[in-house]
Amino acid sequence: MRRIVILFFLTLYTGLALGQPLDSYSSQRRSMVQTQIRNRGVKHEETLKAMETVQRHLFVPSSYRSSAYDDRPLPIGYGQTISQPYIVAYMTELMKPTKDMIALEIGTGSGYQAAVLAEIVDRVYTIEIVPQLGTSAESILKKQGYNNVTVKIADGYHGWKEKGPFDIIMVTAAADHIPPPLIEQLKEGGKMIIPVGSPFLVQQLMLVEKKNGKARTRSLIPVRFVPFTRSEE
Amino acid sequence: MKRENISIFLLSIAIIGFQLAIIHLLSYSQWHHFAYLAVSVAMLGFGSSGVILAVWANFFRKVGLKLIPWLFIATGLFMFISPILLDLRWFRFDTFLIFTSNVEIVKLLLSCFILFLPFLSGAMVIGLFFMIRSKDIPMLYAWNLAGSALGGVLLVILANYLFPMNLVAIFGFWSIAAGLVLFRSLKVVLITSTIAMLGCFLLIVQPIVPITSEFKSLSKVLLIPETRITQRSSLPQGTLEMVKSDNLRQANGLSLLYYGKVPLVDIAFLNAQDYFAFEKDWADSSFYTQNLFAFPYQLYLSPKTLMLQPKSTFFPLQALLTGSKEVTIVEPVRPIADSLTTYPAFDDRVKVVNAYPREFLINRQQQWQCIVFPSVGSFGGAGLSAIKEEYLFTTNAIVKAFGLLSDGGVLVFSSYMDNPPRYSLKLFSSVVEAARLLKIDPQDHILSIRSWNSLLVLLKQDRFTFEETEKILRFVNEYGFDPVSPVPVQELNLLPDSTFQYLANQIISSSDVKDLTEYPFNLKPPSDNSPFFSQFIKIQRFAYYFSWLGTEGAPFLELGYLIVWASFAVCLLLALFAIAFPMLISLKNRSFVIAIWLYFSFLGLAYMLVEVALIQRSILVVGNPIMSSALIIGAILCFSAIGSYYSSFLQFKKGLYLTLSSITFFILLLILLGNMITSWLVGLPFTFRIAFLVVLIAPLSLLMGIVFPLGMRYLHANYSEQIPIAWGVNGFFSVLAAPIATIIAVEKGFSVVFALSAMLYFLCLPIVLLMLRRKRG
Repeated sequence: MRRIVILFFLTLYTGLALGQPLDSYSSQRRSMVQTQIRNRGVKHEETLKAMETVQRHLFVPSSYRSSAYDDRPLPIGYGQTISQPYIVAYMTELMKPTKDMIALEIGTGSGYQAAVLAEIVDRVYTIEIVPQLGTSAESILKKQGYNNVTVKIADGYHGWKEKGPFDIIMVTAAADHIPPPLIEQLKEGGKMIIPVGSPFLVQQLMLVEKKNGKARTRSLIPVRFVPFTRSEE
Repeated sequence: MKRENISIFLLSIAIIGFQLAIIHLLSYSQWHHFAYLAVSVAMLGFGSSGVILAVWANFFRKVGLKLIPWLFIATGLFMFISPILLDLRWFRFDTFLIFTSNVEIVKLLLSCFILFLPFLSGAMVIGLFFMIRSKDIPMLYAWNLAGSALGGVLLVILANYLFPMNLVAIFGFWSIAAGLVLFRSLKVVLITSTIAMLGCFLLIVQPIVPITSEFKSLSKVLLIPETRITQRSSLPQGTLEMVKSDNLRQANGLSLLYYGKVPLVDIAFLNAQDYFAFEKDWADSSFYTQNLFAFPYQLYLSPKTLMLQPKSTFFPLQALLTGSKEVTIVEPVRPIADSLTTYPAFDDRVKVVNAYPREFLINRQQQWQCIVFPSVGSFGGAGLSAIKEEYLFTTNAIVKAFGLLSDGGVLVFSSYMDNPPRYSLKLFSSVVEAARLLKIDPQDHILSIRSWNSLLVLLKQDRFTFEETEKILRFVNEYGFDPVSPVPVQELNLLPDSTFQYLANQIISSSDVKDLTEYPFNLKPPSDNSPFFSQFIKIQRFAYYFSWLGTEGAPFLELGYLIVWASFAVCLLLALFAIAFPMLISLKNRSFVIAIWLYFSFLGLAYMLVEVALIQRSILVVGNPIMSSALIIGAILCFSAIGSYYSSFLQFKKGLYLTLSSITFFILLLILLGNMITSWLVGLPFTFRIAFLVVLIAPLSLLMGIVFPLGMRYLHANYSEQIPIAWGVNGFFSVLAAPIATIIAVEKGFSVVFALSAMLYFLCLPIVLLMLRRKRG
């Protein structure tokens, strides 16, 4: 009789556990997409879907996990931050990514932006200069099953010539100018988004498009990013 | 000479030295805007001490003499520990975060309290002396002011050798030394002086560097791997630090069609803000030619070029590589000028002059084809220079520089393109306004082009020819730039909206643009009377900025001016708490003499208004705010000390009538002849400039030093119970005067600040009459 009771409770608990959603943050994520992103005018369906799919809380330090879906950037260590969800969605939408594209990201950071891109495009190459961040992001991305993302620990200023040219280049760290090697590695018709300006204060988010070999720019919104680190040549 | 006089003299040196050292310290760890807060906190200490003495007058009369030496020691200890406490994370506030976190506001208030303590205890000593030896007030006041004057001079000398934290602590020991003069026990003197000497020695051999705001450029740049400070030196302008890195590059104005190498740079930081970039390689000349700023050199074959404070070796190198036959660089910071003299890429065509650019422009006989102004603003800006006096970008400076152009020469201005446009449009409107002042048509003499991130504005001595306009169109086509004026024909680099281009067109085509008054930012061209180029805030639009950007976002738009308002609020709060309320309580047992209140409050306000406005106005003459603060505070106090001493020989009624009328007259003269005198002074050699400035402000300072002790003497004879209250009310209004002076200077100009102070001094005349009538009654 005792065994039967234990078995009953075990079955009950297992059933309850299986009945729970695997990702307890999914409702927060849905709310984030609706209130912070869709309501602010982001309409690109693939972007919205990716933002709803990627588990942002796994990309932030555990001490910040409860704030992962807040409408703000969060520190991830080494003076770096994970961008505010809206900025990630806004930048992604501007690129108009499609599944046949190859993307380059400069400044892997937490790996979150790479994961969002990886949900949409064919292949993502991402470069991080801080080894600890790069290694950690690579491990999280792998655990999450993003096999189409390749992380390199290097200086993003010089791009990734061997893997280019790229349809999309997304720079998520601030620079005081647009690095010439990145323009060079942009495919004809390709798009780059980069926060530019004084790396110490407020920057301007710039969209660069390459048409007939010439780069054209469009100034978008003022933003604040951490400085664009560059290593020795 | 009495021991008391010597100790009050030494203490006054310590108090003023401490105050200026705190300004130095806050300029490094935060921003120089806190200079006004430091002045106010000092005044708060003085005001509050008067109130404490008034409330517990009987107690202090009994124990005053015994307490004084220990208060000296306490002042010194408070001074010594205050910078250490300010650096602790419990008290260390951050300017940017004041607007985002209540904790930071509490930290700011706590920091003010920490700084308030040494001023309070120091002022208590002076107040106690005044109370106990009230018949000697003029003499004591004279020693007090003379010591304060010397403190200012000492600070300027010591600042060449010591870092701010060390300076602050040294003045702490100075205060302890002042107290030792009063001790009669040799044992106490020996022990305390040995400890003080040891402390001083340790502080000199072990420089302490305060923690800087995380938002200052030095903090940000040190986050970049393998970036380090290699050299640190102390200057009167602040702390200069050389940062070396294999990772830093700068490339403003670079064409997006350039695919070559961007040179690496090392950066010199002044007070933790990026100041000068030294390029480490310069092999690729196309880096310099495929750049927006290369255009002026296309107009001439081999021009003579003048570079005013270029902020980077890029600009002189560009001038050399594009064929300038001679490049003169004007650099005010001596170690930077020295480094430029030995910079390997410069040949004998480069001449470096160590001078302030505005000073250099005065009385020059040479002429140049290109005069290049430094680039203004930063991308997106942050308003951190909002209340910084920028005399190089006033319409007066542009007009002056225009006079130094040789035939067909050009003035070259540049700015970052910002969003929403402020720096770029204000630069444009300033150049257009200068052209109008020069009575030339801006549409014929101004040409402007822009890249995706930079703006170039040229003001030419004669009209731009058709060939030159053709040349510029070819240049923009070749390198992917956009014309702004006269003809915006293409737009390769799209801006978020048409505001910039629309307003630029309006500014150049009409002298009275209605759209500019409706624009949410102040684009009024700055003049020497209100030289605040980077001040864009319109007070009446405060609510708009906050609703648009939110409380957290607004500081990134414009911080400096908000800080002044925040300082005003903090000062008011502290003054109410530390002066007004206790004073009201103390009034219960006293008669209320409105004339006395008015007299001493007007004096407190007017004295500080003159002092702050003179400091700001004299920056043009002496070069930088810290030097100007030290010199003006020192000179005013020194001559006020003489005035105070002289006041003991004056008869109250006649003396006050004559002095107050003369002060009003001298201030009015300052308003009428200020510009002329400043221009004359700036043209003199530095030593003469300082000497004449001191001589010129001497009569006014001397007179201003008379009215306070004369009033005190009158109170001693007729209303002795009112002395601490007069002291308190004077302090209360002195506290508020520093931010008030800055706000009026920004909004209306220095002449209005001076006019207000003249009016206050003049109004004291009928108040004196009231005081006398009441006495007769």
